[in-house]
Amino acid sequence: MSATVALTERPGIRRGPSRRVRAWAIPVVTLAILALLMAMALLADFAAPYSPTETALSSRLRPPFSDGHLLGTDGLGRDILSRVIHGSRVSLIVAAISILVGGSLGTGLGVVSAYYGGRIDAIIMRVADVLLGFPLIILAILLAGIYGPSLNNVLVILALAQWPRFTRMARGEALALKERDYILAARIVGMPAWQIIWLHLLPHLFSSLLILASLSAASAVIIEAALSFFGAGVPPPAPTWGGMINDGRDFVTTAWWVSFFPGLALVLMVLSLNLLGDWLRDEFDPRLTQAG
Amino acid sequence: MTRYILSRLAQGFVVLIGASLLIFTLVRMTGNPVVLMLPPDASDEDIARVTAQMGLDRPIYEQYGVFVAQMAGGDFGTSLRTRRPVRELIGDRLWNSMQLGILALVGSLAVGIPLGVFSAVHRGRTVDIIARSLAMLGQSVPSFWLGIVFIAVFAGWLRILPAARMGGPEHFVLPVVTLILTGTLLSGVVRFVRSGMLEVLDAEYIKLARAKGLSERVVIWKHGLRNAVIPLVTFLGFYLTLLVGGVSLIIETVFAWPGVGTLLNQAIFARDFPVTQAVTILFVAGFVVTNFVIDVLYAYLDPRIRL
Repeated sequence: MSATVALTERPGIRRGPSRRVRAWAIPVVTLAILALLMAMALLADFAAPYSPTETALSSRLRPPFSDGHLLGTDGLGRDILSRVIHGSRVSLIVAAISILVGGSLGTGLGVVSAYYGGRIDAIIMRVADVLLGFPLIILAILLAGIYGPSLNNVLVILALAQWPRFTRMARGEALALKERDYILAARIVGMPAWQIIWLHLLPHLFSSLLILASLSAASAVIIEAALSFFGAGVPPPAPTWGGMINDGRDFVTTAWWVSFFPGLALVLMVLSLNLLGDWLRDEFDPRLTQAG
Repeated sequence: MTRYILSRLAQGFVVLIGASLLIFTLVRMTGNPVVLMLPPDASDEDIARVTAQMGLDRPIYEQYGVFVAQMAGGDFGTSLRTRRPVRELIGDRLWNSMQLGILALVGSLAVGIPLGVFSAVHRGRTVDIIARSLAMLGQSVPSFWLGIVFIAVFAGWLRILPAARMGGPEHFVLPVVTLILTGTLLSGVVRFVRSGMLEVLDAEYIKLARAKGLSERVVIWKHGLRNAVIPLVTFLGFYLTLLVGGVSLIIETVFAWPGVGTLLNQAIFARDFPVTQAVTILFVAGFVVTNFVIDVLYAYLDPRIRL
């Protein structure tokens, strides 16, 4: 790091943007993209030129840039751009709620597991392990078969998918912190467990939580898309990016745009979340910076 | 050591039983398969009669008991939809699915390990940036979308590769490449090799090897890589369990691949209970077994873990 800084400060040597500047670009760009997506979702009704659900069978499968339809139309004549804009709502809601619920549940369980140890720890971790490997997509499809596809289904499955990771992280960190002197002191003094956890353990988890939240949001969006792709997500006619990709399968060789653009939006959102999470990790997790 | 093995075995068993119970009940909640098997105008008495014939009106615990007894004897039941033994159905397709997985794994290792090594050795330079971007993209791109895009480009537009189904080697290209590039496969391999190498390259014995005068190439590949791959093995174990799990489902559906994933998909929609149960339990069992093997292997290699 110091070598790079020295080189860029020497007069007469142009090495392009210094590493510091480049490093800053990542959070700025990703947050900008995410903010844009959020704005899109909130203002969907105003931003979208057409209704996302109104069919227009006379203008089916129009290619992009045809009059009035920037991204073309799908098999039922619905404007792709409008549907992509509205689709961002589902993705964002799902991501937000799943990390809020899964994250708080998971972190809570992880800290409790670390603090109390023993049987509780073993049970919680075993359940977490099982969930990490269980074919949740199958579960989701079955649930959709029983109760019909719905937003609730998706949220339940996602919460199940997310909490084990938070539990693992929280437990790992809490275990390390547990032996610190000030924790022992608090216990000796008689501070109740919940107070110790809340005041002394949790605040230290904050940066790790943030990192994991960003990365988990990314995977939540992808999982939701996969569920919608299989018809086990939010049901039509609500536009979802995964569902739109599925719709386009029938026309993949003739009307590629039906599947392409929703996927592109998906990649954009997930990439931003992943990049952000990675950058946060590089910044805040000292253990990893040595290994790059 | 034996105690550890036994306890892990017992835990695995519990997981398996729990999962099978869960699937068993859930699957029956999706509706009565008889309704789908008979013509739409079948009378209620007909439906009831056939349901009783198939033993589907018995209490759940009785059905479960029969199910477990059959499984213990190696009989996975008979498909409600095709009347063929489930074992045959799965057997036909299992190898198809596994071929994809194995090819993808080999491909990822072949590309990922060198990439990871170069990335670590030339840290910060172009190779590193490219490798990490590739890894990042791989995690961010949904496999079903990439598969569809590939089909559109290579089958629809360029017409040099087939769009779906199984066949000669050219049919394998797209699904395997999609599998490698997306999900966590290639990205995981590159990351783990890279971080493993980075940690190792600073170690004492590497400096010693260099001091001895060994060529840089030998130092990196022979001495460095050997130790860097240990975390990679963990990751691969993890990935294997995922592969057996649900990854195949998505790729197979997109490419209409005659594998276990598509079998499951059909079974769920046709309310073919025996098939759905058997395949899901197979997935879970695969996961449990692989996990168990990894756990035992680790305990063997590192005595500190047997707590």
